[in-house]
Amino acid sequence: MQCIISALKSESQPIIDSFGLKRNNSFPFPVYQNQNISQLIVGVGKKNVEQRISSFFDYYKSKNMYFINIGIAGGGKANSKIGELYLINKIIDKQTKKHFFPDILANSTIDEHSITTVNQSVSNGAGSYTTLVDMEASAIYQACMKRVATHQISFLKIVSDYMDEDMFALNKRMIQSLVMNKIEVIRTYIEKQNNIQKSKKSILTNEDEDWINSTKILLNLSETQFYKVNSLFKGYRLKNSSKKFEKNIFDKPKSKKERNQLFKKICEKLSA
Amino acid sequence: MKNFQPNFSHIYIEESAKNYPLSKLAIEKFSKSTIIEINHYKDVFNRPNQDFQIQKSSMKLILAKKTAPFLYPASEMVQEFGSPNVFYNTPILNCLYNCDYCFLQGMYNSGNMVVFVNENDFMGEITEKMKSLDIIKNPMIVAISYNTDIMAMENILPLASRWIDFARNQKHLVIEIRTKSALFSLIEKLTPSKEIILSWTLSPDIISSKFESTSPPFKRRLSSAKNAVEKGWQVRLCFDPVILFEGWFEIYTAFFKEVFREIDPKKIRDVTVGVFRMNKDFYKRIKKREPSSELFYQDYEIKDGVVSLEKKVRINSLKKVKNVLNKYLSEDKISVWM
Repeated sequence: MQCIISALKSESQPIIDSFGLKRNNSFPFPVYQNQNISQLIVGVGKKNVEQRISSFFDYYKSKNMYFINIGIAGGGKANSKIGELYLINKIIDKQTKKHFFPDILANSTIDEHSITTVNQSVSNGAGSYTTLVDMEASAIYQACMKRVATHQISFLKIVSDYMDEDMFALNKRMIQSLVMNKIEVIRTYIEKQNNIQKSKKSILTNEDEDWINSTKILLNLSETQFYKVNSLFKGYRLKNSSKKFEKNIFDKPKSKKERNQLFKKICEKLSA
Repeated sequence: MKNFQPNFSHIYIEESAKNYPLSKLAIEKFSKSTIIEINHYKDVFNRPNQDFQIQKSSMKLILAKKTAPFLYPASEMVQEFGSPNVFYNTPILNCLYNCDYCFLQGMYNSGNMVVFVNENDFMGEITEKMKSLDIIKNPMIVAISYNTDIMAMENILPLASRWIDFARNQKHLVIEIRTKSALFSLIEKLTPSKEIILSWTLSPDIISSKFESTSPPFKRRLSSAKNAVEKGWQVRLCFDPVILFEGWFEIYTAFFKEVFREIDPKKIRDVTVGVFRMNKDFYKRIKKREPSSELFYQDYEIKDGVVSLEKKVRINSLKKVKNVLNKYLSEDKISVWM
């Protein structure tokens, strides 16, 4: 599952519309979904980020979840362009001085930038910032990295202003339009990330797992025996990618001794 | 359409590493790469929750300046014919290749590569250490390619040739460069030296294509090793790990025959042999990530912190291998990790 995280409703509206997402009222905060994509709104700043990501993740508990933070950011006139989308390769937390580095694995032509996450919005010009500036990225990275691998977190930021008085003129419609103009680039990026996720397949098929679980119950295998069967089955599957393992044809053992004999036989067959 | 960025699409560089010649060379070599400044290589390389294998599909280069220690006593899993003054160092962390049985995937959080650009500090530490050792009887031996394949990087950064130049000017120092590369041609113009052991890890084709798929194929490695022997280099052949499978003995017997048909056994320095083995913590860490190699789903025993085949199986098979090797080499030229 891919989970897009945005601070504002206006940042997420074009995504909700383009991907046909519907509100899921199971959460006490705004979540929009279809079968593959979720849009989570965390509000401005760091304060709600950990709690909302945690609630969302705990609901699905999927290690395959992929998080993308999509939103607007301030930029400097010298090194960014209003309306341009950037892939973030470095996040600096202004308060803690910590630096974070999202993995950049997907092949993409999106220009890259670094970003500084601040606690107070900046409106007196880019000043000393050579990076983009936002209010959530460092908190989002830290919340996500506790739950998924580093390559499952990305940041796409669209420059909305140069952090000067013009930023006060930004309204919902303008923000929506900034995101909408980049929706196809965002869609392509999501697809590429999805392909990377798909490249990591689990070794066992559902059928294999059913076999192992039913054997565990039928033979009343100990945890150690179960672990060993599971491991040897993976070896078997890697050696025989499409060959079915024989059906469970044994009867429920009448004693521990009989169970252990059956277990030994299974191990021998799996290792053969 | 390629899903992944090419290797070294990004170079992370420490501020303190910027002005070293090796950094400049790397940046020049990968002029299209995105350069990202970092405070310390561990901020990238040691991040928790990285996926080693997926990162191997798009490795990044990290240029850093190492601080002491620059030299470590050799691990017991390294064979060195009983010499007491054996060390290893880490001019590079991680490897361009990604062999299924490699311990690096359990040792490091990251699939990316770190190159330490202050090579003179590594070399200085060796000359300093030599002063405190009895090296007249037992020369100091340093494995410089223990946590990497330095020769495989030679067309990117000429570290192997620089180390060779350093070692040839030292008395009582031997450096070992272990490799699976086929890049001997890049150093063949250098004058061979007794102070340098070039060690090629060789495996039969069937093993190499299955478990070493990112390394050059067996024949290219053999050809590189042969070339080195013919040019007068000290060459060690490493048949390690010997992988056991149905029909393994016949395949390895034919393989040794082919190796020693190509390379005159009298001209090689020695050979080392061992079966698959790994530090148990590394093994457990790899297994937790569900690796896609069948090697990790076999029955092993754990003894003294090392995961390997059951002792009886291990000793029997290695004895058989040794018997075959004895046809080509004298006893003192064969080192076996039992």
